[in-house]
Amino acid sequence: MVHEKTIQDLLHEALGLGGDFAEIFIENRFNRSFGMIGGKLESALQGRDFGLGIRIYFGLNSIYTYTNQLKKDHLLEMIRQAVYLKKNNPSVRAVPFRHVIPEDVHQIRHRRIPSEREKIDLMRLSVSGIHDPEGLIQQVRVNYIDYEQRVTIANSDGLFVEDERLRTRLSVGVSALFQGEVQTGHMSQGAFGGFSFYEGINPADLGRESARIAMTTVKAGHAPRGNMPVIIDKGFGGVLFHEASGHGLEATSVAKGISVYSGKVGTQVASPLVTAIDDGTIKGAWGSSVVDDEGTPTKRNVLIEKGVLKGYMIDRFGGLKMGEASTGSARRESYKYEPTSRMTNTFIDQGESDFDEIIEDTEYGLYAKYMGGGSVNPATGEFNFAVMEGYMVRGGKIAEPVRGATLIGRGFDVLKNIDKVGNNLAYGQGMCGSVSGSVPVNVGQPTLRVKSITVGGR
Amino acid sequence: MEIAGFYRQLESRAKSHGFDAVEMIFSRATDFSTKMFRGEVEAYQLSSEIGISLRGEYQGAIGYYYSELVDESIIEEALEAMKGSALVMEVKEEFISQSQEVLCDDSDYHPALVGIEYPQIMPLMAGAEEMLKGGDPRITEVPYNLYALMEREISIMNSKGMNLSQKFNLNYYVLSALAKDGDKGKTAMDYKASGDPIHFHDRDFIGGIAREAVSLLRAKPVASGNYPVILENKVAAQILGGFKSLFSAEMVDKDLSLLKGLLGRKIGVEGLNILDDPTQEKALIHRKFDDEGTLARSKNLVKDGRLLEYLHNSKTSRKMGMAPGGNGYREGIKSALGISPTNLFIEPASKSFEELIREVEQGLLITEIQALHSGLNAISGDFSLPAQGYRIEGGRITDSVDQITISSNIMEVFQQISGISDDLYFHIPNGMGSVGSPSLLIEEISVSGE
Repeated sequence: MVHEKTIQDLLHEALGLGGDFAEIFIENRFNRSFGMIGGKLESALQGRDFGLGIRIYFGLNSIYTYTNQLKKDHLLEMIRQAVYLKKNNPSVRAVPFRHVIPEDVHQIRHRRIPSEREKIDLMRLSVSGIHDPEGLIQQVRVNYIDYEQRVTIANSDGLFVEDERLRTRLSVGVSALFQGEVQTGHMSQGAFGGFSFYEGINPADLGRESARIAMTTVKAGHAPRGNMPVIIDKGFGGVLFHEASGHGLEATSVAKGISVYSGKVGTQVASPLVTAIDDGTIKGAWGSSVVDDEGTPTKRNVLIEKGVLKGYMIDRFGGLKMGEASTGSARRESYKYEPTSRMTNTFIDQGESDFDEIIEDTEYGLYAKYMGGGSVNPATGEFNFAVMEGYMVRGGKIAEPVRGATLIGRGFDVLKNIDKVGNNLAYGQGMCGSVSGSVPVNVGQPTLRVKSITVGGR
Repeated sequence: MEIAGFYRQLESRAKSHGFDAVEMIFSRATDFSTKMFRGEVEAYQLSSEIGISLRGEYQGAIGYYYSELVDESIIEEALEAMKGSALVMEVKEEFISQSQEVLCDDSDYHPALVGIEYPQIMPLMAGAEEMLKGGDPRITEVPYNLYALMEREISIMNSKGMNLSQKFNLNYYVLSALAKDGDKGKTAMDYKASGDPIHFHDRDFIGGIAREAVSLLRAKPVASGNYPVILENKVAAQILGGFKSLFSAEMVDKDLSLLKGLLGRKIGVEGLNILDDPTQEKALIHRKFDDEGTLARSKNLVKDGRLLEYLHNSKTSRKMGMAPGGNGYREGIKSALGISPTNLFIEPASKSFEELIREVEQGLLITEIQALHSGLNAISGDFSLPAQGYRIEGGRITDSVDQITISSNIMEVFQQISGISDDLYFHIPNGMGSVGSPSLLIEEISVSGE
């Protein structure tokens, strides 16, 4: 689409105008999505995202500009317009390219291309698991998406990487009606990879679980309010760490010195039971990629080990400000965003307690079986996340179900208050929104217990 | 790329592929934004993008395709994709609208914003940061200092004679302060959007953020319980915005709106009026037509607590036998046609904000909420949101409050509004309009705290 020579010339131009470093990101991505409601396919969308973004560093400042009109003259003009403080440096040239072809770690290059019919059949299969003996279910929605994203990342240090990312995701949402009140349940699963992902899961589980959640909560009372012990189940429960701590460990806020975790490496920031990892290399995982969006290979990064802060998630530019190397954590939604450090597959590692033992050890509290999304203010550490399906725990036993509610706290307090970590690590797939847009992330954890957290029930 | 020429080619190729009708939305966006941090330029971004979104009627169904690459090379791919999606569709209610309307509107396009010299903005922003930090020694950082200028153009052309376009621009400014006292940090944020160049050296705006951040340093949770609550205008508008899909005829039709079956019925208190008005003066965007080319019109959705109308696109209005509503919008070029309000708002009443506060003996004023994407469920109507604000005691605002949640259901809130003030406020708009509200006094909301 854009000639390699043009890319080289754009980089020369950027340095010639006084930039210390320049980087180009070209994206060509084909998206497909299908929507089914009440068992009928009602939307089928396809289309192409396409454009080029260029970032130029001036010391510790940067300029970012993007467009999808890729004629060379337009691109050069765009760079000249963006560089508001011009220092003429015509003799400075970008380093000639060294081509890097990332390894096919996730085995996506020789994939089978499924037909539209197969995707629609998969959607039908996902709702085949729904049983509604009492006639409570009001509506069932299914969504399927997949995309291929081809990127070219080139920089003035000579890096030239071409990478392909392939992702797919299936989601089911169910609403149930009982005595005039409505509740919903929602489940989804996704992967970095092609359609063969669905051979390894049972899609009918998504429909069955979503329906069970909606039918259970619609007959349940409100969640309680106030502070209490909360047991957060495995899998998507990892949204707790993602919000309570993960965002605060991104160079995005650490490099500015405004994160509550700035300057705390080597100190105890969580309970000794907590080891937390961000790993962008997990094979086939939703948040994985072979190289990050600056072309750096992704890594397994230990963030917290036995409660002690070990390191941060760092992009190249953030690393420059911090005096540290990139950890392969630069991500962006598309060429429309300047990349910055983001999470990939982030999880609290395996502990030792059995699930049953954690429940039995709890006199009174909330058991949060499935979680929704959350958010955080990294400058204050105040975070929140939603419980989709909960149960009261009384006398060491799971008691009556309760409806969803939001849990709130401060990251520090909550991580220090984790007093049980289970041995059943699992992951869930989500979309994370931040300064560089919305990116696919895995969250994960074993079942764990927080001594006290504020439950926003009624 | 000459866009009318591209469209003519597309239309003629579509015809020979057997399409009965074809439609193209063309959008152009030009943006500038910059962020400052500690007096330095933290980010500086300039962009120009175009995109097309196509619909084609093929064998009785609608197929979709979009692209950000706009040249002849994609026409074949586009037509094949639209055919492919039309052929698998099982719901066939959508159609491409007929119109001979030709309109080219630029009444929301402000020439004063066109001449802004970007590099001159940064010193003004640095000045605002200094002013904010100078206001109180406890304000240690200005974590967010963002200016953005955007320009949008949208055109719709179809093979049934439509040719419409509209252009608008606006600029906005977001500023936040981090106040610190020992280990405790609190942030406060405010923003403003305008069709006139932003006034940066704004003492009221900056002073308000500083006061809020500092006063929140002393904030504590309140005891859990049910309280009378005043939702400040911005907060009330955020909550209303979170529930806007309730008014969509499509959501009603799909059993996903609690307002189903309630047309003509009381859903709120006597004084509650909710409008969707593309011409609303206080809002910044005034759409003349929707994404199907239907002319936009004003609607009383709720009048004196009674539900009068839903929002319609051409598909739902035909299906339910209603007049076309002019609310057929796509969330972006990548989305299917849905329904969205234009300027959706609760009508202000005559009381001042201070009078509203005086009515509360023991209660809370909520000035900030979070987690609208996860703590609010538009299908069930439930919300449970982290909040902060102030106590109201004896009709006066007293101590600040944080680490609480407010929880209720929107249908209960509509029934429990016992006071509406005159301070109508609109948020920064999206491409269709914005959501607005005055401050509202709610008789009782569940608060979780200590």
